[in-house]
Amino acid sequence: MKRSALVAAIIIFACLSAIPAQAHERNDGGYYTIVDELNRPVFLTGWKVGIGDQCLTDDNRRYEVVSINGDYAHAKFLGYVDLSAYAPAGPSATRFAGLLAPKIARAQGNKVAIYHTHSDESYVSSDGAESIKGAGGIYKVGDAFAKALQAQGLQPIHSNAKHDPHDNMAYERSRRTVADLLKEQPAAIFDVHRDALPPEAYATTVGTEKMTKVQLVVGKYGPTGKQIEDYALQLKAAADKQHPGLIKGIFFAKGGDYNQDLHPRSMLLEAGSHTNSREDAEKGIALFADIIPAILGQTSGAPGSPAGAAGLGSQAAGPSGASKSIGWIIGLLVVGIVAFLFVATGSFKEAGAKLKQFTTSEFANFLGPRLRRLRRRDNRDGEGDDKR
Amino acid sequence: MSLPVGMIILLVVGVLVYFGLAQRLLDRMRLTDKQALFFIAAVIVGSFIDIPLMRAPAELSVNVGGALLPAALAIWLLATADEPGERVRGIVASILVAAAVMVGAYYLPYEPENMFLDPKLIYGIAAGLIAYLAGRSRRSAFIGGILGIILSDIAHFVTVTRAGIPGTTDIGGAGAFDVVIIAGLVGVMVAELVGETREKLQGGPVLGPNRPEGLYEFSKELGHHNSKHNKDKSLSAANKADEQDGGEEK
Repeated sequence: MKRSALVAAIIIFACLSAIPAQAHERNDGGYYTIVDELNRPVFLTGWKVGIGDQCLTDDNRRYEVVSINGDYAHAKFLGYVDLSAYAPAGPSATRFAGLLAPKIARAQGNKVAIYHTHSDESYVSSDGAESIKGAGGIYKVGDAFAKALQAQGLQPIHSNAKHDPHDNMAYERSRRTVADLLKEQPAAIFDVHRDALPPEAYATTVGTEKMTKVQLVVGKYGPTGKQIEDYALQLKAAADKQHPGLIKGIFFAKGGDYNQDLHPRSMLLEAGSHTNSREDAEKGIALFADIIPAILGQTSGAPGSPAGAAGLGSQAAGPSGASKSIGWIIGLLVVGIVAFLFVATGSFKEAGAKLKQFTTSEFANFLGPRLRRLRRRDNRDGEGDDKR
Repeated sequence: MSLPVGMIILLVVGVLVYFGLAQRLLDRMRLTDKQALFFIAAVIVGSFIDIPLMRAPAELSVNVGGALLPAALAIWLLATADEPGERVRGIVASILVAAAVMVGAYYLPYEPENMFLDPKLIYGIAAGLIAYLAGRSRRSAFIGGILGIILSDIAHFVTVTRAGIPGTTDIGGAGAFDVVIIAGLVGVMVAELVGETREKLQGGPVLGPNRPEGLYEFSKELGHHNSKHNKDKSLSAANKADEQDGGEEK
């Protein structure tokens, strides 16, 4: 009886863990303001935030949400992130090489893939509505991005695939688009969205031109999240250098990987908000395209950068995001194997024995026939030798 | 395409672990090790093949590796089921999973800032739990995960077409990395976890016709194997220790 109660408890717990704890989209037109310890607003977001979510502001301060009170999320200041280490290193840092970057990119034939998971996203003032199923204004923003990339000497591949409706399966449908784009072997892949905030959150002026900022979103869910985090910091560092103020910040979302597990250079971009004009968003993302050649030209970081000379990390900065991700994958695998063996056998002794059985005889049928053939041939050869 | 060595190793490790895990799980689907490997190879090759089914009014295509092959395996498992009950449970699980996916897609949060668990895992875990509760077996969890997602794709296609929304439906289009396959594999893992835990708690599997034999003790088999081996050959110190271990078990 006790046992069945325990089983029921386990199953109920498993079910509950799959039920959303904070599943409400804000449909009251409101948004969240992340404030620091002194109640100064540091980051705006149009969707409900959860405790533990992190953000990197435009001036590179990193915060973690600790409590939520109405429309305000109180965040703890985690520290300044020194992005100088993430900036494109080596020759591309010089002015001359910067001028050459488009030429180098053209010579390397780098392809950049663009797609839109939320096909309906539109800009109210330019498109007439915030959501137009199957024909969102976001495709035109993607076109502007593609055009700007082409001007940079890159080969854009802009997917026209539609993933409506705007629901929880949209990322699974767009995953198919990503897989299709991967067959073209792009050097980077971008999922372009627009946000849902008041216009001032994204509006900016670069030089004399009015445009919208770009926000990066990193999916921290899967083991590959660490690599994507590094990549986002590299993008922000490069943008800060070339176009200060263009990046609104980075949102580190815990709830998914947004298909960023499929390519180590995947990024989700928010180009302005539905309240900004689409033309401004097009200008902002076109400017963002300027930094891409320098990022793609990097096959490794400088020895002192977090990526290290081989992209695996350096002694000074520790392991790179890619190394951390590799560590996570292998760590999870080992924990998974131990847990499975324990649950399947019930004691460490049985688990050890099962592991031994696995390593000695599980794959016997794989090489068995070949080994037997080899052994038979050896025997025959041996007999022949004897006769001689 | 130029990538740093770190990223290349990350890709290689990721792919090896993923397919290694898939091989171990497919192994439980009435496939031998070799057949499971061949199946994975076929899925990888098939991932590159999309068969277009319809162009207008909406685009519909099906991927060989991500949908046709796993569906064929699931249907084969249904066809070769030990008893009719297992077949019914597999089909019921698939329909329930499809319903869960459709309800979940509608009600669960969909903005990056708002999601709490990756959809791939939500649907995989849901498939595993539903299929385990409906069918109480790893095989029906696999069938539920695979056919459930495919059914939900078909339902999605019908809904979108009826609503007149231009869209592209590529069933299993992400090939080996599609939610179809991931849901099937996660489903087997969940069934394995829940099932093994439950069996452990009740003190062993239920015995009877079409049921697995009792708990398998690997240490016993190894002990037995060693003692036989030892009779043939002279006993080394290490083997003696092994035999003693085996002896304790008996």
